[in-house]
Amino acid sequence: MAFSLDDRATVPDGVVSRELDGETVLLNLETGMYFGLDAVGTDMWCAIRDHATLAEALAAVRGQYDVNEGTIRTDFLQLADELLSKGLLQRANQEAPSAR
Amino acid sequence: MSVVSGEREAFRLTRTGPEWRDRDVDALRETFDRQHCVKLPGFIEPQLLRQLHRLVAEAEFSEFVHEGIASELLMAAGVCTGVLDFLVNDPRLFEFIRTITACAPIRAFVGRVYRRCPGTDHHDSWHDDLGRQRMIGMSVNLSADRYDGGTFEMRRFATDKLLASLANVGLGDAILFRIADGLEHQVTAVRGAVPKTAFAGWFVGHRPGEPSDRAAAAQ
Repeated sequence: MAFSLDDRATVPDGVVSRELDGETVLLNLETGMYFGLDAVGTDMWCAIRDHATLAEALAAVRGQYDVNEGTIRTDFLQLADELLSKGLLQRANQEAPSAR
Repeated sequence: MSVVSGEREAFRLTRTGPEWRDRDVDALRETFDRQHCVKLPGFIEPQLLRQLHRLVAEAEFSEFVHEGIASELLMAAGVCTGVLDFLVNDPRLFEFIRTITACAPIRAFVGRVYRRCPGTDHHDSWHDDLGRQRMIGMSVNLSADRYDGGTFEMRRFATDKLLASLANVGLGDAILFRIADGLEHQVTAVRGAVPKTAFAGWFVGHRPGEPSDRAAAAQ
């Protein structure tokens, strides 16, 4: 099920990240799969990681970009859903889905 | 009721990168200057260590002989080795290592996971690791349980007096040691019933595979 802005998202224990020159690499320790984020994706990732709800995270990202609200909301939720599908995010209080 | 304040390690490798306390750096540097090696307790944070232990348990090992130096079990390349490479090839970790050791710029960490089992012919002998722009060695303890023996020793070339003897038996602890002309090191035999598993390698001044590395390998 896709994320909504009311959801709370957390980073599973089995996910590590490294920032380099404004970009981020995420690594799922369950699968060994890497996932790269550009500068915008990195801002979204940090906001999700540092805020209680996706709505709060989106508000934080929105303040950093002069972009149409609908566009940034769509991009934000698409990224969150992609990270969820790859086991790089989970709904708060839920176990990460097993990748195997 | 616990009244411990929660004092943490001087350095730790976390899921989001390295963290260290600047106020501990001088003491680590002084120790490294004096004995050419230093121990970093709790190098890997417990949460990350639990994940790594699972990967180590799932990995495959096979016998490997470093001709004239050592024999051991070597972990096959896979998820675990990839994760470890990812974790330690971090510019901020390189910055910390340089701060402690004053080595030249670091371009990469090149390592392997080995296991030495008691009661076998697994062994190590005095060697210097010189070459291929190796500057600083590091060994991280990934053993599932506390083992006996397997102590890191350092000395000046072909002398009897040890510069240092460090037991690296704490889970997730690490040892840094200098690679330099005139210094050599070894790891003593593992005793008892528990094998030693470690992620060990070198901080080097080149990226693996680049021309300077191929030239060094050819030499």
